[in-house]
Amino acid sequence: MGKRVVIVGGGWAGSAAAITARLAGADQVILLERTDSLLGTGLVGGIMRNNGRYTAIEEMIRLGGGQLFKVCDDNSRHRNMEFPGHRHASIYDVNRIEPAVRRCVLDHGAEIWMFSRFVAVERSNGSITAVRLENGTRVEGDVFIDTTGSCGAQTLCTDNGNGCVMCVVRCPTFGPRVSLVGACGIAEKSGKKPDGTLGAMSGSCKLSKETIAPHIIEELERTGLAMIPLPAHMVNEKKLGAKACAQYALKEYAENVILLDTGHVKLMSPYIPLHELRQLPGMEEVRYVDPYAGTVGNSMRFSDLSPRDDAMRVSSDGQVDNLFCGGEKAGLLVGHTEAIVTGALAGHNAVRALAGRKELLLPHSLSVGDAITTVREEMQTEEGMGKKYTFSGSVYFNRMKERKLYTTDHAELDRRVDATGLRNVFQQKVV
Amino acid sequence: MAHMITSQCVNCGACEMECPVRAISAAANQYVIDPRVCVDCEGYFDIARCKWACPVEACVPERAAYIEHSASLQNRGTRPVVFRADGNPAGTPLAG
Repeated sequence: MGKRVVIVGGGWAGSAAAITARLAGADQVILLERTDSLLGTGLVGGIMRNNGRYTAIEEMIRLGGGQLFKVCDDNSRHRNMEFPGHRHASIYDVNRIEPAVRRCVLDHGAEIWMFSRFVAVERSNGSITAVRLENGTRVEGDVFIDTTGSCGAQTLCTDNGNGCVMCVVRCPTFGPRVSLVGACGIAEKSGKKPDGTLGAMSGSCKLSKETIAPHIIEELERTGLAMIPLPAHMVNEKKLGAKACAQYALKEYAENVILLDTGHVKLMSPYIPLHELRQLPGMEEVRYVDPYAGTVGNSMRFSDLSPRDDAMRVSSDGQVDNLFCGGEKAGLLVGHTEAIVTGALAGHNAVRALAGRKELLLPHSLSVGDAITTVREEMQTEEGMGKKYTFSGSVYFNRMKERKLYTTDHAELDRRVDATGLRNVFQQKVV
Repeated sequence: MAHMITSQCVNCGACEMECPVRAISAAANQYVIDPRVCVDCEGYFDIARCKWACPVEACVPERAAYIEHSASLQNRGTRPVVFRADGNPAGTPLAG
């Protein structure tokens, strides 16, 4: 039997890693997922191509790692739309995306194991030899990738947030996320809120379309966006600081209820009491679909961030030599696009490591390479751990603009990627 | 019989310090009572000390049904299911 890549966690990062590992020539790729669906928090996401994410996505397509971005484009409800602070966004349909991603992963020849919660690791001579699942099944492998994310267990939300609010992560049903890096005894970090407490709260909720007035839904489905001004007594700018998604911490988001059409209605606020939301015209009968208790809070994220190098290899002072990481696990780089980028690189480099080849580093002339290095460096500092990084806003998008990395010009993107000599690198077999 | 701690546990650790027979320890997401050690505080206290100490009423006399149906996939009868290229479930992997 050939070499086997085992990926723990079937969110955007793990799905991307499964695809690039197969493209790089891995014989067998097993993607382990704790729940009944791929994508995790991606099941309630939707926003792609906004601001610098457009550049990052077009770079990845030219690097040959654009498979999941195509799936998102193919399943977009809205394209090239604007909302406050954000330009040329696409919004994928959260109700249609999971089966499409599942097909894409399977079509590339990876196996998906559902209901397969990782709980323990086996090691020998400084390498991981197998992972164990909740039911005792032992999954052997040659190289492993931790894409378990940074949400849950429930105690993260009870200790640092407003308690379990019954979100799409579904810890009570499928069991809590267990970190593979953590199980190896490698020290991990946690992000901090501006007030110094641990973690960050997810920044949006989903509302049921059927419970909102037809005129709002009509505007939402036509343009992708609806903005409803909040009465003065409901404006709370303090809440912005608690959010995971710093790119949405703008005045407009404190003064309005901003709704986006993701298939559900995406409410761009971490939480709002239902009785307050129902004071808004057209929202008198609204209800939450995620998190169910969106009245009081949202899921907490950014615990257990792994130390790693720019090839996405987990840095462990020699404890394990065959472990990579991607997605939110790999640092304070927030979002689906960001998870797909780091996951794709982890999957590719895991196979290079198996083949004894030098790992791929994405050059700093591309935003995807610059972001991976910048975030790793920023996370060395206390101040940096209090921030969030994304191609789509806040400190990192500012850096992209300063360094002239941000562009939507396809000819310029062609030139940049060709200058690196890495056109379609993710589609080249390395074994 | 023994006492047990439900998932209402908020991880405060009050029970662990109070337990006269040291039956309580921290587990992954909450504190747990080792039923082989727990004596329901017989001979020590009239009310089980963990139940007395717990601020959220998570320490209760053991209930078999709770343990059987507690939040684990295994207890729910769910096993890993493998999907391959055709997208249909290809059965469950063999336990190693």
